[in-house]
Amino acid sequence: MNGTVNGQPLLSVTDLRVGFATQRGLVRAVDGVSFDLFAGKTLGIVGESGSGKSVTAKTLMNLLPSYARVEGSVMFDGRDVRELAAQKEKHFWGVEMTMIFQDPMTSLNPVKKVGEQIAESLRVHLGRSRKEARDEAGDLLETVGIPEARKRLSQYPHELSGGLRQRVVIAMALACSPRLLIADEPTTALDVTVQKHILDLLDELREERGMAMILITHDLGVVKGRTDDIMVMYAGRTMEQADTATLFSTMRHPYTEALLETIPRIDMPSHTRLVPIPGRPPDLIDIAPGCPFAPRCRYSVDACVVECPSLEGHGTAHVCACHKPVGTEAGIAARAANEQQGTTPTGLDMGLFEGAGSRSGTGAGN
Amino acid sequence: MIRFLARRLVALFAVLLAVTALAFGSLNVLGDPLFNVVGFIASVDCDAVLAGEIEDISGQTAGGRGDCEVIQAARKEHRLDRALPVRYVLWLGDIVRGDFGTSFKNEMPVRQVLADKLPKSILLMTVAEVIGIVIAVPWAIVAAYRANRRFDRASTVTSFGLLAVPNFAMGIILFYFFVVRWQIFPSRFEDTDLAARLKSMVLPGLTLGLPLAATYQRLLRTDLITTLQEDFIQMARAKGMTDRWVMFRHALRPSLFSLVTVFGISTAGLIGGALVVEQIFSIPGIGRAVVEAVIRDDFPIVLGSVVVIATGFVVINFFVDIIYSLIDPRVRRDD
Repeated sequence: MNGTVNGQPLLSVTDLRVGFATQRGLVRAVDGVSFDLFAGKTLGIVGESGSGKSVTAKTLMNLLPSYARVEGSVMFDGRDVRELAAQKEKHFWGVEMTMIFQDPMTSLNPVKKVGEQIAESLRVHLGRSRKEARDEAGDLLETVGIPEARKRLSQYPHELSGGLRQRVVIAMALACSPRLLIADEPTTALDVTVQKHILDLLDELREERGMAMILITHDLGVVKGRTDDIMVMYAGRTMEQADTATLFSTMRHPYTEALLETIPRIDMPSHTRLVPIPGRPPDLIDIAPGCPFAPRCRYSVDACVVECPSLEGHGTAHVCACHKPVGTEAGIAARAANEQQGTTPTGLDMGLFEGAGSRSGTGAGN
Repeated sequence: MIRFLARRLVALFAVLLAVTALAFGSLNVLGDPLFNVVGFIASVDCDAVLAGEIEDISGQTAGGRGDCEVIQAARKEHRLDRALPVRYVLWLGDIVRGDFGTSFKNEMPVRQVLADKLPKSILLMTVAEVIGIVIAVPWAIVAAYRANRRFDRASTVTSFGLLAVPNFAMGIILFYFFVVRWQIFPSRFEDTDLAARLKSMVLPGLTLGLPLAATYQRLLRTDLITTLQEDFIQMARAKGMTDRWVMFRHALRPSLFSLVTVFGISTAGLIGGALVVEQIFSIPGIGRAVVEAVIRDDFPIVLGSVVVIATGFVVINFFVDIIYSLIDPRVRRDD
């Protein structure tokens, strides 16, 4: 992948598994995820709700409830993150690695002044005095582009708009100059007009500070052109992983393709029908032996129900877990056969996809 | 903030006016005040006596002072010859000037009776609330921090147990062990010095305070658990704040609303509502005084107590409103 010249990755996740013991059984929220992230680079993690992307992030941030069962290794710059969690390390999260959340309306404490909330990291982690911390908090608010930054310090969150609040949240996260920022759907709760500003701001800040970033989203449109690499997750597993340009030009996984078809594009003729992905993500308690996406997949063949495909290479640093990858001979044949039959081996009605336009073979044109 | 306080203050006086009007009106309409002052001779038909149609019997024997003269004197003294609204306004004027009238039964100034009883009730209330809060807050924090674990489950059972025991039972149990068997605490209220007063208040304070602690613990625990699931708590954790910091600096304050609300209501309720406990521990407080006065139709005492208790209620809840605005800046908005 990109950035290998630096040698060691900043963050290296290997075979991460997270389960939650519930009364009905073990929920496998993350099931064998691996990725590397190099300093200053951006990884996009894309998937529907329930795909395990947020749980992955929370595992990195040590935010999981105590009943979560975690396996696998998470190394950050040579330090074992799970070991740090066990030792209750006080100055790692919030200092080296930090996270921002989806909804800026609820991410800020309603009863504390904005300034205090930014300053507390500086005071707790860096030992700044009250006044120093306040001054730095003001600087941070200026950095994230908040007008009249000094005045905002003594305001409460309810006095700010959604866009400003997300900027405050970003300022909070940046306080101790982290080397990795995890942004979990940072713009999903914002107005479309504000979304781009926030994403641009995150890009700028990342560039300036040489910070690595994990951008989590359900929207492939958000990561396009903003990330170095993309990992597509489904049912707790990695479905496809590649650098961003490759993924958009020659996507291999039917799920990736389906996700892209759910997004409206400016170059589509008006009234083009958007194609939702039929069905629902699977129950993560009793996982069937086959591919978790098979019941919703246009390319599925009998083998998909029986045997779960493993991640296989498709050119440099491009992996995909599929028996009949999009755009390959096998994939084109499988889809054609399903179309002819009108239904897939899992009983999915192919009629649901009419008007979607075949992308197979040509990749995602844009 | 100023406007917020002003609005609350106006509301406070409006409530006081309504409460006093209701109390004064109902006591005067539901009973016959004249009967309560002069007794059965209130039924003498004075118009008929003056017209010479019937004789004023008692006037002939007791030094020339007839029933009608007594009745008319009483009417004048208690303004019974005036219309009810006029009486209310005049009475309110007296109250504002500090004149609460005199007891019908023993001619004691009501003000003196209240001055004697009220401090004891307020002391009892304070001790009970301090016990309640001091026990409940740490208890709730520990229970919420380890929600649904062993300590929390045991707490739930304990608090329901405390709530299920009625006041009189709790009081009698404590009285039996600490007064009768072990003789640690006095059997009745000792009014010699502050230490003695406080010591006399320990058992009654516990009797009222333990169920309060249980109530407060339930409320604060539940609110804390809700708050701890908020995004901003997760954000604080993501900033690397310790559990202790998150609990005390982020979770506690926004979780205080139910606790403060019920605190205000129960505190005010304790001023005049601790009758059972005052009885068991022989505390001459205002709760007993009111009940005795009601039984004896001693209107001035009842009215004086109502004024004091209502004022206490309204003033305490005024402070509760101020506490709300200190807890949550969103309450302060002047709109």
